Amino acid sequence: MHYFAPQQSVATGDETHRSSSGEGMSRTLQLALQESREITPMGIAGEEGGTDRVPQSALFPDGTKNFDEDEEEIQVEGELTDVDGINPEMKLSDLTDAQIIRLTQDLQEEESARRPLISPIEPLSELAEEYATGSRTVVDKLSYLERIGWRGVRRTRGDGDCFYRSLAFSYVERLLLAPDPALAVAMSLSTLQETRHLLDEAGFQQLVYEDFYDVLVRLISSIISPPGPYEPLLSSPGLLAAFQDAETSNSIVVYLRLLTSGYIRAHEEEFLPYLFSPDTGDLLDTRDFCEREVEASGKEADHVQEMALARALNLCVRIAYLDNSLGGQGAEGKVDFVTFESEQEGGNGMHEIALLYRPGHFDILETRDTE
Amino acid sequence: MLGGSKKTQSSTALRRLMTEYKQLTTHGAPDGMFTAGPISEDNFFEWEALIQGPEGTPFEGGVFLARLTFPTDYPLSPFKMKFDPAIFHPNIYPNGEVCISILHTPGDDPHMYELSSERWSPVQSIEKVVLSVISMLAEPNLESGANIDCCKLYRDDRSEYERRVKQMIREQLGITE
Repeated sequence: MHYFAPQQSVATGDETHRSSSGEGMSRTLQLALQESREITPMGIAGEEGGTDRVPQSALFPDGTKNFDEDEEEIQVEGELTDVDGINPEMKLSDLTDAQIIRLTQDLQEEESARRPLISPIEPLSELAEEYATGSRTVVDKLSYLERIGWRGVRRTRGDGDCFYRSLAFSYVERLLLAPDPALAVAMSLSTLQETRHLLDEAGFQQLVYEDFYDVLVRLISSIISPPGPYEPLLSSPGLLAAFQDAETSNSIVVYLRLLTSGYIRAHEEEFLPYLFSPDTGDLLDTRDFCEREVEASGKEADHVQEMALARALNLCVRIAYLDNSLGGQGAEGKVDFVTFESEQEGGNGMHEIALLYRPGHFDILETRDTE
Repeated sequence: MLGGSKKTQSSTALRRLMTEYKQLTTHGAPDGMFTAGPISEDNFFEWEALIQGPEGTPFEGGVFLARLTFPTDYPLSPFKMKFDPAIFHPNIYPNGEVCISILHTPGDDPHMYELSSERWSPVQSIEKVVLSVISMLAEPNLESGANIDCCKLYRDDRSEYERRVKQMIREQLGITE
């Protein structure tokens, strides 16, 4: 399965995402964006701080900071201040590394400021329009998705938390729209209650996870019982507002990260052969993998994390791959779905969750094309 | 909960800080190596820590005061730690700020830490960070140096480094020779 290749999780695809909606962007930044693919095959900016992929020597192009020539290396923080004098006519290859890093940071901040953590639904056809002048394959795939009933897309911010945030939103939304919400919520709360044991067994202190757990449980409970006197039950707009609120949204993301980590730790023997560092491709032990690639905010999810979380929450998650590859059975425009199912018997009273994956980024697929 | 989100912007942070404070005061730090708490009960986002210099190192016998400043989205983001007065150490800036990987998230890597170094995530805590700083006092990390002169001295002339550290401790304690 090609998915396990380490470079899979490097965030090149998000650039498509950004450049396609980059009207508000300064020309310099667009320049940086367009050229970034040429200067480094990995993309200049991983979603979470591309700087850690820049080789150490790059920070000190003239070597002046590298005063040390022998024995142990001593590195002192680089001074990334020399960024004046950039203009749109300059080629990216003429810029210093410090300037490029600065441009990348500006670009990420600009992206973050522009896009809410989770956006309202928009028709899938709008996404297709962004690719109209680009990839025919992608456009065909989008129309295939539309034909099989996914008429809308809900975008999430490309901040490295997008898998967890997309999944969490979709999860609570499915509970909210379930045919029998009371039953679905009760089952979900009982699953979540169980997950606490997973975290305890993984050795997390209660103080580390309880606040995040409470935020998720309170949100789900508010589907069927008002969170407080004079407070309404959760509605669709309320759900969107909750996930756009950074504190609520990020707390839930943290809980899902801890849960993913707890599940991987508890099922170590299944996951161990697949625990790679996406940066180096080296195999990691479970603890290192969980601490660095799962628990840390802003670290993207890969196959392992996706499978672990779907199982931990007893969910069926389908991920549609929107890329330039030709569809599975040779059918034109067909989209490959990867499905993660829980191992438990019986349904959970909810519709499946579907996410749209473009290399490096997840959004949510919806059957409606508007809120 | 959904409505007044602005008002409760830092309620998670506050709850967590109070829980950590309670734990630190009830259980205390291992071997009494440090104490920490809010400077004033009115503001849980500014703490002070008193740290004992680890035994068997040039820092032995010293007591160091550090100020911990918490962001409103703690523990999603790490806090900042600054020694006041500053300490002469390879990983502490001349202004007292501590440069250590555990106070940076994996995505935030201004110092090019090694991949294997421990990073900030919400499962870390004040206690874990302060204990890491104490072990950093004992074993400086030259790969992410903050005080360039001190780095050189530590590498090239260990006994002079130790003499400078001890002298600093005496000055801070008000002992003159």
